[in-house]
Amino acid sequence: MRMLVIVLLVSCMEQDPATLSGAHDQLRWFKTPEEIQETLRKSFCLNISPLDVQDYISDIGPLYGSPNINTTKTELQQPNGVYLLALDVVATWISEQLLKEQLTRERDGNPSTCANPNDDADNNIYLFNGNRYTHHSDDDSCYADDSKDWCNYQDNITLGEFHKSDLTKKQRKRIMHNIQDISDFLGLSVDNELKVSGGRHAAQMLLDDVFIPNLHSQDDDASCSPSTSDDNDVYGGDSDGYNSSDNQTLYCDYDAWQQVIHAMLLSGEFFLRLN
Amino acid sequence: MTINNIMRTMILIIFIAGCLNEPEGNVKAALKNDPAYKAYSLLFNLVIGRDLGGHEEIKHQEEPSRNMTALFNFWRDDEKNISLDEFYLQTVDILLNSAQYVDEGFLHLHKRRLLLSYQYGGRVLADKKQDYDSFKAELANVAKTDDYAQLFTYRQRYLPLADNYGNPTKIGTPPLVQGGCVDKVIDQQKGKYSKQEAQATANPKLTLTEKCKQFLLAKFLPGYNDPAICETDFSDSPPKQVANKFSVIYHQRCGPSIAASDEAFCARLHKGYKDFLGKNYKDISKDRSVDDDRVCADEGNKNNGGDEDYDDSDDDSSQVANIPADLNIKLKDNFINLVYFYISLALSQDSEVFIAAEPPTNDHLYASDDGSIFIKAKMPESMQGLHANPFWLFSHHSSARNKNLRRARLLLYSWFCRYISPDTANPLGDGVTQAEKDAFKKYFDPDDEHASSDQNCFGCHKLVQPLANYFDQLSYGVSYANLDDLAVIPFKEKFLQPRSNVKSAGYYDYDSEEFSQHGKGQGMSALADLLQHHPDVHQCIVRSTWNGIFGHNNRLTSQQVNAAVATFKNNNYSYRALLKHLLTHEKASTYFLQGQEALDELIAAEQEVDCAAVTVTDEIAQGIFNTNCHGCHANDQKQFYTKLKNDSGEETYGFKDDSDEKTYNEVYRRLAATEPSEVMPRGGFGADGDNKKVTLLCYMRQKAKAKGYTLTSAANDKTQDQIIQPPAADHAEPKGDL
Repeated sequence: MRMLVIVLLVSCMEQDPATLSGAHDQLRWFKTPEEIQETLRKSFCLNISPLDVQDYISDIGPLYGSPNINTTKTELQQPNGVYLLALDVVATWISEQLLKEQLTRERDGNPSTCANPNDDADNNIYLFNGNRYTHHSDDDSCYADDSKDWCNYQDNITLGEFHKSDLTKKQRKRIMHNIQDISDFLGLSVDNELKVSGGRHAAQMLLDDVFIPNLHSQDDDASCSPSTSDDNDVYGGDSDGYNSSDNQTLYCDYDAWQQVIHAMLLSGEFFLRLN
Repeated sequence: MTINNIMRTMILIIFIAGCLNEPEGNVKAALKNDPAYKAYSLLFNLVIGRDLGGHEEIKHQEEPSRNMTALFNFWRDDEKNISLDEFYLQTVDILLNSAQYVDEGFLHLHKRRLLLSYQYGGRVLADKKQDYDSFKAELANVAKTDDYAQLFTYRQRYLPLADNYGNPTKIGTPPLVQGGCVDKVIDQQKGKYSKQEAQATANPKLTLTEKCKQFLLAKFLPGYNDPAICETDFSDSPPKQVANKFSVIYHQRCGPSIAASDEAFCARLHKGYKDFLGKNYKDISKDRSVDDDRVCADEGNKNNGGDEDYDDSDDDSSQVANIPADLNIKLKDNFINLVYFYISLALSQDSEVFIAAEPPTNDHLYASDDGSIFIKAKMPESMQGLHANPFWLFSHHSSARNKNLRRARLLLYSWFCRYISPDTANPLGDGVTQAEKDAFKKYFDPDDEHASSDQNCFGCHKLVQPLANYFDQLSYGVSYANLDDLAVIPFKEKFLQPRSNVKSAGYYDYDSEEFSQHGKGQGMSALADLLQHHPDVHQCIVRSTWNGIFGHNNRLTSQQVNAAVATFKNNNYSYRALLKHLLTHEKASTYFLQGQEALDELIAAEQEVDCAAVTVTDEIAQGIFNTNCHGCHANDQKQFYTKLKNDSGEETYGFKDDSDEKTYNEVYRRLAATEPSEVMPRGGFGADGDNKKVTLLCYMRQKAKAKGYTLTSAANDKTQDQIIQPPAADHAEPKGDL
């Protein structure tokens, strides 16, 4: 199954660059491991260790054929399966890190883990807020209006808000908008217009096929908790993140958001750089 | 695989299957459809070198009120009526004056130009990272000054003191942190910072630990805990002992009279002593000479009891170091001074490799992203600039043998936009004349086979060997792979082991057939002189910077390059000014605001020639090939230009007939972008260059038409060309045989 993913991803990448969709109609090339690191550290404020780099990132370069990007011309057309598998692993890891940072910020406000001297003290824009150039009015009426299928207003979603249940249309619209926010944050292209093959709306597909199936409820997963639980226990009180084997309490929508981010990272242009 | 995983994978497949399809319709969310945002995010990516993050603010460093958020708000305010072009200009200005440009952008742009990608794995990565981080810090300083010459001449180098675990590094600084002088609590099993540690990383501070204190005393006051020499327990007053040591060293070398050669050292020592003692300072230069052992005999040493090797009769502890009895210096408070001073002291005494500059402050410290800590030290002249930086040297060694020759080749690539490789050697070329061999004799090792024979390899080696000789004064370094975990390679051993046979160095200008007037001498300072002043270097910086951002296809004409060089020079070689010139050039703004197709059209218009009145025949074209092109392109037989035989069987030169459409387009664009010059060989067609260029362009059009090719100003398939290539070959290969 995993190989099928790889094959399909290869087929995506083999397309003529001129047909690539995305925020820009520019040419793309693989990001180097260093560019990935810098983007994670400085653009995403993730505090990654040298061991993280060693475990997840540093081998990406050699895996696409050569440690020197200047000698990897042919790999653009024919990325190998191991490289793509590595991307899958690193996408999973990045999605975990992003969610952990999102959670930390929701819980503690804007932490100083991001040593960006330009950060405004009152700036708490992160994964669920799009980016600082995204302007969303804080108007709830659109979400409540069932006659509208898409709203471009502040969705105010936080981790732990959703659990396995029938979502209302308002909730669905807010989730889809948050998917766009995540996409904006990552510099990708999921928005109200992007469609995937078969003409399906990308955000809607991510909601129905990725988000909802990965929602948990306390009925079928005792370790799952809605956000009304004691937040301090959500991660077992430490920074190790989610580890279900430890029976730690987990937000019921944690997996769902993680899978959405993972899918976006792998299927967008995150591992390619604009050029 | 669990059901959950299967489901996850299936969903992923569905999504991926459609991942790169075009969205239906062109309307997107307002943000992505905003040309201002598109231009900005693309500019950020290309100039700063990473993706634009959602949270990050970009501020103009000198005008704090100006930032990108404010500019976007201004742009979106209908009443403000700011044009897209104006938005773009302001964006360029904010970006180039941002902290991100200083910390990342300058490095990023040069990393690509100088082939300094950092992407190795495993052990090499871990060991090299210290060098890379110090390299980043040094380039950030150069970016801050915006004086491009400093890239070649900077002497402030960041020496790693401790890695991100607080362990001593292997770079070769004295092992000041071997005893754990950096007080960091890091979970070494996980290798991750706690949140508190991450916060501390942002504001590095060296903290003296007891272990460190003992280590320093053991290192620099060897007898302090040796009962056989001195049974003093100095732990109560370590500063006094340290101060004593200063005094001892001072008097050993500087008193009662100071040799001329020691003046600088003694002045530094005195200053270091003064800084260390602060308000407790008393002029030691007025003290009398003392023996080293007297460190044990100060007033505070109640346990000394008289060492038999120590002449009590000469003891006058009150004068030994003029240490007030009530001295109460907190060693911890002075730790940075101490570390800095001792690095200076140890190395200066040993090899004079560098000189303490100013009294150290926290500004002399630098912590990299992962928490490694560095201290800034001044290098000797022979180790100035980026080409003596350990990271540059490491990145361009590539073989145990011939390291310096390969480095020389990279100099040609990076600074002269010339590319040579053994592949370009012409084994069938003419031999080397005796006169030529004689002229180069002093640049080669007497035993060098390339200099002692007339083999064709001499053609390349005569170009690279003189450049390679600039590196003679540096050691061959130490293999990272051979370092033991706890090994500390002495600084001197790693960087300063001149080869026994240091030869003349220089840049051989094949055009004038003389060595460049710049770059005479030896080592990095001579290389800096060459790179600062050679006109080809200025041109190359412009070309390769442009190509690094916009790719090889979207070339500047020679005239446009010259204009950029003029801007560069007129602004005192400000790289920021050069970047601003390039990024605000019409071609650049077209690319960023309107995309590649619009740029293609612009270039096409620029390259348009009217062939209606031009008479083109094979004979005319081949006449130009054989008279104007052959001199430099005789060996360019890989791509387009080749040796042919005419109908009479005579050897001639011309286009390869089997070249594909893409090659035709590429060569056409290159030719069209060339500004004819009568100065051969650079961009030159000799006399009447304009007409010759048009003739060849029309000839190419004719040939392309016959083959059914369409000549466009930019190929549709730019993918491969966007990969960094050797810079455009406006500079021809050397005359003669390679």
